[in-house]
Amino acid sequence: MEIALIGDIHTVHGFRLAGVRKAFLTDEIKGKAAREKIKGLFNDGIGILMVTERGYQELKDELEEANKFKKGIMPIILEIPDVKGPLSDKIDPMRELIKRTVGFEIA
Amino acid sequence: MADILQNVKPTRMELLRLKKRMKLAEKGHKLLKEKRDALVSEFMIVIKKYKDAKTDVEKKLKGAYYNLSLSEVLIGTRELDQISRIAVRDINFDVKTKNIMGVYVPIMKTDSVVRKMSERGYGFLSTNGKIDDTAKDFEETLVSIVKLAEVEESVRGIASEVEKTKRRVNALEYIVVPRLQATIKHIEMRMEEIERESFLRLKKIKASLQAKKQQ
Repeated sequence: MEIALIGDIHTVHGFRLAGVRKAFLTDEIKGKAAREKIKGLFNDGIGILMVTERGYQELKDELEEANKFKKGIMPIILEIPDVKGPLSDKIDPMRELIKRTVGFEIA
Repeated sequence: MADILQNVKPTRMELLRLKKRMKLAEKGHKLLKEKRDALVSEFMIVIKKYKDAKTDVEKKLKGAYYNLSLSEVLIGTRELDQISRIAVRDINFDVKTKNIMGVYVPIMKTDSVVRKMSERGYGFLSTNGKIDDTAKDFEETLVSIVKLAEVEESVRGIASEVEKTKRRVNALEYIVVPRLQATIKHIEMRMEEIERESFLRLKKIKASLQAKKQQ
């Protein structure tokens, strides 16, 4: 299994230094062919797809669509904070999930 | 009062069948409830792990980004871009799946992510120590990220299973069982009614027969 990244220039540099070959800029992916590109990534035997939080918001529709139609549990899409730090006004989807499942919030 | 099942004839056969179904539904309800409780307790453990992994990743990323910014300042963005392109390699990690209460969760092995300095592939002449630190930081972050991905997927899997089980438990508790109960009661009442009817009929016949005899 491989790791892939979609993010801004700094994240791409950093994770390339760590050895991630499939590191793409958000600007490279987004646009008309975004859907095909993401689909291609999904069919490429990737285990984890890291996306920066800002990048995720730009590619939200495409990623969610691809995620819905994937086979099995791979790849796992993981949002990571970028250089500017985590987004403060974002609702954490995991937090929501936990709240919904357990019925109350766990600090 | 819950609705009764449609198309049920008030016969003794049907009553027995319904009673059997009722027993099964109650048994299933109990089992599912136990499954739900076990899943929730498992979920709590996984949530704890998730929180730890998340803070770990955030902390490590912050440190890594700090070193990255320093490297950019020291060596220049363009140079850094070239160096980073040299440093790429294939990361292969094994994924196995574990079964927790019927939920498949991934287990990932990350032995080969952190490299030695000399394995990164870029030259030492045109680079400096900060680059090494940055690369090391990001590699360590990557290990934590893989861990986080593993835990996050378990949280998701178990959460959806908990929801499914909850729905089933509630459906049994609030719909299926009351409906069966109501139907059983309905049939019992109906059968008593029939019994009374036939008893009365017999009495009437007896009376009319006696009247005939006395004539």
